[in-house]
Amino acid sequence: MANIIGYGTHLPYYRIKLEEIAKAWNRGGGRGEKTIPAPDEDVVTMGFKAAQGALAHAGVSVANVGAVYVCSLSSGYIENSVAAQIAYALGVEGNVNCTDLGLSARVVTSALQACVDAMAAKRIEYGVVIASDALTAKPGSDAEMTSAAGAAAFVLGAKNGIAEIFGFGSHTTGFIGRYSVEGDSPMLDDERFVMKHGYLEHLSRAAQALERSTKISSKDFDRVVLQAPDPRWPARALAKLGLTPEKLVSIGTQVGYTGCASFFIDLALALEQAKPSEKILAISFGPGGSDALALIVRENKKPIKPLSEQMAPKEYVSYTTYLRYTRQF
Amino acid sequence: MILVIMHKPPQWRIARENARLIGYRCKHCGFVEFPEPRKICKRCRKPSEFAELQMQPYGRVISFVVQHRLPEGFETPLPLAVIDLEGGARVYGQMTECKPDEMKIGMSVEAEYRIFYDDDGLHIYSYKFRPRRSESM
Repeated sequence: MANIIGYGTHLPYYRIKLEEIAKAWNRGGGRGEKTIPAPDEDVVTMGFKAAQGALAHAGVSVANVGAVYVCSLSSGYIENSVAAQIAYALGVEGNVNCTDLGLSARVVTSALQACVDAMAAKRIEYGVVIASDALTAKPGSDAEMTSAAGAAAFVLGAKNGIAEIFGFGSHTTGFIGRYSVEGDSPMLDDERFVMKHGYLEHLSRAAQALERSTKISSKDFDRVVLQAPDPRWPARALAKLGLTPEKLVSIGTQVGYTGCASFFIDLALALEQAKPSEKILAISFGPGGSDALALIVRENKKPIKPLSEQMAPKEYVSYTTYLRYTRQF
Repeated sequence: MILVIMHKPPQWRIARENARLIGYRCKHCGFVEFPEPRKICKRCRKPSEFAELQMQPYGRVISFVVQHRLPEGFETPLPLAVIDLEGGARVYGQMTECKPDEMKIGMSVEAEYRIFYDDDGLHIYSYKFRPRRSESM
């Protein structure tokens, strides 16, 4: 189909320990930490940084990029193209297809599929698919424990590269699960119900659709990436998919839930770790359903700024600084 | 980043240079102008031609001050630094993700594309600098 020929990620420098948030609200569940965007970071700056790294990793000139896709749930704009702003800053302009996607974290796989299709139709030579989010939630809400910031980007091309995307499978229903209304915190009414009838159901049905189209069993994949609004969910989904825990690749408990970016950051981490000829199963999830993606790794090529190097330099902030940085008052 | 007057016409005129770190090198003396090209070189004072230069996002602090009192919208205390970029330009810019006690003359910094200010909800971006905390690009 198409190849990932470069990737890049960006994690903010600032972190908060979840115990800080739990302490402020006298509540449980304070294990792990999450990223906080600096006061001067947003989806444009983070997406730009990730895409710049991905293009350098791919060694592709911006003049040959024919399409830029940006996936985000948190641009903050009702009208304004984040994709065009990032593309212009990268130096990608003129006869370029520019697309903004949002409203469901699942759009990351829609964007990848659109880019693969554009290449199959020979409309473009190279495409850049970016996911960037700086999620916020009202102080004291459940979503405050997970909402985080980060970005990742992939450069796709027809030439041989780091990994080949060789299959897609989808499961679309009207199931919503988690949703957000403008200016309000994300709502997830019954977590156990959404886990069982939303998350697990959609993930496994999308995986089955992929199995049918690729004729490869989910068990034959070496690494698995699962997108979830709560970083604790993927571990629980493995048994349902018939997979063993060591196959899961996720830094969600160290980073938090970064919306669209969570899927791409974990997929980038899987590519950083994978050896040639390993197969990766990656399943997105958001309101409306799931898409499953099959990849085969061709080469382990160290990215410009590996995630391991971005995890170490960090500064923990207090709960009040966190509120100030995320403009909560 | 440097000498950018905060109203719209100059912002739009130099949008390309500002977003992509493009400078202009004087063909007479080699001085690099950034972000706005000029007719007369600031250093050699000659009416000059300028060649476009893709600047590198790395540099060293030559001098700095720490601002403690600034209008709303700025994180204080805020270090402001004069920086020599690799490849020849000397620029004056805001630091970010940096505490005043981290600042040292000669420290290595990297340019970061950040929100420079908020214009009625529209984010205007430019480059700031932060300490270089890892050796990879």
